[in-house]
Amino acid sequence: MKEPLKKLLNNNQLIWCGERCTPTRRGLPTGHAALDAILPEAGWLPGALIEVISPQWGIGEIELFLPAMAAATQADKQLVWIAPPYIPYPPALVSGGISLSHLLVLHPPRHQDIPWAMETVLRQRRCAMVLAWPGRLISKTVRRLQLAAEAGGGVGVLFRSEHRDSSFAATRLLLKPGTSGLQVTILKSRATRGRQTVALALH
Amino acid sequence: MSRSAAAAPLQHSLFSPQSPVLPRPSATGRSVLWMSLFFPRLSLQVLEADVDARPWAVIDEAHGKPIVHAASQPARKMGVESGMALTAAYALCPELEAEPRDRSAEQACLTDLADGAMQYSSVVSLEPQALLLEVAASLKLFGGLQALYERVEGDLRQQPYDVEIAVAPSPQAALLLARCAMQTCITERAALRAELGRLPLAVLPVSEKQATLLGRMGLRELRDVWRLPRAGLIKRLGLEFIDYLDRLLCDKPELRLSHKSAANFSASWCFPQETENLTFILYGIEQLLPRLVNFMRLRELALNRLQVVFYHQDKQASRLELGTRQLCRDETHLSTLIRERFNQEKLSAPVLELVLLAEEFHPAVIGNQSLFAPGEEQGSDWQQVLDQLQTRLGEEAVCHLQLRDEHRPEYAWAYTPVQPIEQKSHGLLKRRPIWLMSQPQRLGSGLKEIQLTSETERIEGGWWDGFDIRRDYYRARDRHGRRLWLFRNLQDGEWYLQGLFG
Repeated sequence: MKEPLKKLLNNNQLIWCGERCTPTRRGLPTGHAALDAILPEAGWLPGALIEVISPQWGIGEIELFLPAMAAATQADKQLVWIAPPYIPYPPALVSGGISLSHLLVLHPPRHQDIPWAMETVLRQRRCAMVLAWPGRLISKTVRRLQLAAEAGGGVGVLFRSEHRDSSFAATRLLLKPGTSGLQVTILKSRATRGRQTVALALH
Repeated sequence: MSRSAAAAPLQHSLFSPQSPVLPRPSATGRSVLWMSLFFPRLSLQVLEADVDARPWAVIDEAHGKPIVHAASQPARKMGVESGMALTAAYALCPELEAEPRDRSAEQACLTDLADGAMQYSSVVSLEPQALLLEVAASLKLFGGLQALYERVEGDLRQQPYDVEIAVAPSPQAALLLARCAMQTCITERAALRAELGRLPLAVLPVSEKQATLLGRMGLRELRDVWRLPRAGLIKRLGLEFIDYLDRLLCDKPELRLSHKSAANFSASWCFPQETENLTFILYGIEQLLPRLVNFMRLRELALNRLQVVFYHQDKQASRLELGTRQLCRDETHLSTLIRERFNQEKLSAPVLELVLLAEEFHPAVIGNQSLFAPGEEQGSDWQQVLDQLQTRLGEEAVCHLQLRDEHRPEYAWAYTPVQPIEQKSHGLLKRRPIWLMSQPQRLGSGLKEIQLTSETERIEGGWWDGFDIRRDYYRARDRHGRRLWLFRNLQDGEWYLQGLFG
C-alpha cells in the first residue's frame, strides 16, 4: 500500500479497515497483559460498546473489567452500573481499587428504562465506563447505545446471557469459566483476526 | 435690599435653627439619596394593555360619590380630568366608559415591581402608585448615578407601565418631583430649596382646607412658603404641615420601612379553556419558570423542591412534585426535569389552571467560575444528569454505595442517596466477593456438586445488637464454573450461599 493512502486510511475513523497496520487509538489498558496483546487497540476501545456474553454471572466477569474501572476512578471519572443482578459488594470493590464516590448504581424500576438510563450516562464525557445488565434488547437499541458511547467517549459494557449472531457493538466477547480463571473469546473486534481465545488467571 | 439677599437669611432663620441637626452631606455627597419611580397611569394600565384605544376612565369613590381617578388620553382630550365627578365627566364625554378601580391588582403589580427593584437597592419602599429606592449605597456598584439611572430607566421601559423617575436627597422630595413629572436629579441638600421652590403649591399633598388657606394667603409656589415665619405657619396650617416641609427639605430624618419580599414563590397560569394538551401546559410552565428563577436570583436563593399544582374543572387538584439532588436555579435544567416528569406521568383530568409553587429555598452557593479548569462545569453537568435520572427513575433508583465499619458481611455496606466521601480500603480486608446476595440462600442437595477451594474463615459475633452470627466461610466452585462464597452456619449446621466472585 502506498504511504499516503495508508496514512489516509489510518487517520479516518469512518473508514472501516479490516486490519489496521497500527492501532490509531490506544485503548484503555484492560489490566490483563494477555488480553491487551490480542485486542486490536491494546485495551478497551474508548467510545464504543462491548457486549459480553456470559452463560452465568459469578465466573469473573466483573474482575475482567476491574483494573480498567479502578484506573478510571483514580482519574476522577465516573462509573455507572445499571440494574446489576446482585448487590455490588463495596468491600470487594474498594479492595479492587474502585473509589466508591465515583460509582453510581441505578436500579430502574421498569425494564424499558434501562437503555434510556444507559444512553443518558454514556453521553456524558465525565462517565468512563457504564456496565449494564439490560436483559432483552432489540438491535436498534444497541445501535443507539453504540452511538451514545461514541458521543460521550466512554466504554459501555452490556452483559448478556443469550448468544446472537450479530450485534452493533464494536467488540463482542464470549466468557467461559476456565479451569483456573476465565476464558475470553473475542467474537468481534475492529480488526478481523479471527476468533481468538485467551485464558486469564483470576485470583 | 435685593430679593435674593433678603431670602437667604430668612430661610436660615425659619427652618434650620429649630430643626434637628443632621449630618451634613460630605464633599462627595454621600449621605442618602432617594430615587422615586412614579407610575402615573398604573390604575389604567393594570386593567388594560392598550390604554388609549378608546375614551374610558377608572372610577374611584370619594365621599360616597364616584369620581374619575384616571382617564385615558382620548377622554382627557374631551376634558375629563382626575378628581372630576363621574356625572361631570359624562357631561363632557358622553361615550366615556367607566371601570371600577382594582386596588388589589395595582398593589400586586406594585409589589412585583418592588421585587424587581430589589436588584438596584436593598431599601425599596412602597408608596401609592410609586416606589422609593435608597440608591446612595448602590452608586458604587452600578458605576455612578448616571449609569444607575439609565439602567433603571432601560429596565422599566420593558415593563408595560409608564414611569416618571426623580432623584432627591429626601424621599418626600423625590416623590414630589416624580409626581410633577419633573425628571430631575438633585444630589445636594443645598439645592433642594431652589429646585422645589419652583413647584406650584397645588402639587403638595395637603387637605382641601389647607389648599384653600394657602391660596387665600396669596401663595402660589413653594418658594413663597420658604419665606414665611415658621411659628405663623404652624399656627395656621398645623404642625403636620411643617413636619412635612421639614422632611421634604431633608431637615428632619424620615425612616422608611423597606419592602419585604415574599418568602414563598407561587405563580399561576390560567388556560383560556380546559386543556390536556401537553404542549399548552408546558408552555404555561415555561412562562412561569423565568419568574421563579428571577425570584431566586434577586434573593440569592436556590431550591431543591418544586411543585406544580393543577386545578381541574370538577376534580380535586392534582400535584406534581419535583426534586433535585443539589440546589438549583437553572431555568433550562428545571424545564428539562419538568418535561422528563411529564413523559412519565399522565394528567388525571383536563387542566384549567396551574400553579408553580416553591416553599423551600436555601441560600445559593454560587462558586466562582474557574478560568482555566473546565472540570468544574463538567461537575455541574454531571449533577444535572443525576437529577434527570432521579426524575425519571425515582429517588430510590439512583444510589451510591457506602462501606461500613462492620465485620459481619451483610452489614458491611449500605446504599446511600448522596455521594459518599472518599473511603479507603482498610488494608485488612479479606478477599470478598463482588456480588452479594440480598439474602443468603440455603443450599440443599446442591451441595454435592460444590467443591471447596479455600481455607475456613470464621466470622462470629454480634450478640450486642441481637444479630449474633457464627459462621465458617469458604470459597467454592460449582459445576458450572461459578465461584461461590459459602458459609456453614454453626448455629443450625446448614450451608448457605452468600456471594459470587463476579
